[in-house]
Amino acid sequence: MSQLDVTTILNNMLAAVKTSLASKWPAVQDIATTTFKSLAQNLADIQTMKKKGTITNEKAALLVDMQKHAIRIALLSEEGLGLLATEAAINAALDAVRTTVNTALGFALL
Amino acid sequence: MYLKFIRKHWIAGLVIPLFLVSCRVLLIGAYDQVTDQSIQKIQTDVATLLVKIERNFDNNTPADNKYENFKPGYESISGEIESLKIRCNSLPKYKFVAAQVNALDSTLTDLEKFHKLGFDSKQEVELVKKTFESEFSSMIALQNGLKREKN
Repeated sequence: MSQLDVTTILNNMLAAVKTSLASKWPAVQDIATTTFKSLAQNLADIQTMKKKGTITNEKAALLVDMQKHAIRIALLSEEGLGLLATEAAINAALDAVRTTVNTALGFALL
Repeated sequence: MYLKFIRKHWIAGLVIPLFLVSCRVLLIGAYDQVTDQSIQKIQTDVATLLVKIERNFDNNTPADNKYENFKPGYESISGEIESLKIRCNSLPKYKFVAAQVNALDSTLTDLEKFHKLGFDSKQEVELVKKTFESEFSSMIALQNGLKREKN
């Protein structure tokens, strides 16, 4: 059994994620890199434990499944924070013209 | 004169602020303190459970780590997660947080299954701990964002 190379598996995973997410990739790049790095390291740790005979296949599968949930949670946060940034930008734009528009219209439209 | 003005414009005084508030764009639900505190409570309870398991390895008492000793802890955390799910599903525009709570629930289910199979080393506990730490950090980051505090 050859030892898993953390860097190689991380790069392979990130390349696949980048292709899959396409235009959304830049927005999640930081958090995706951190979470997949953690997954890559965990996979290497699981392999070490497997070599030592200290973990069963069933338990290894559960650890990976937990990691998948962690990645899901991280990406959901990133998506939510992205929406918050968009929301702040829209509100800043509206704030910038609120007085001018409302004064011009004679009532508080914005 | 001031009272006269107020009498004349009191409806406008009520309506305009409401109108201004409604004109703010809200793409994701407002910050909910109860949700935030519930996440932190669950985080503490999960951390406590995992630290107990870790300490039993440190104290050379791994036999104390049998699932039955921790069953009430799992039941308590599951109950907290169920309550949080109900709250998040009832809040408007909270699908991201609700999905996170569902994923957290799935992780806890995996942990319980793992524990039923038995913890055999401290290294296993450390891997689980890192996973939960990552989950809670992500969830808290979103909660902090929802506060929409201005710098």
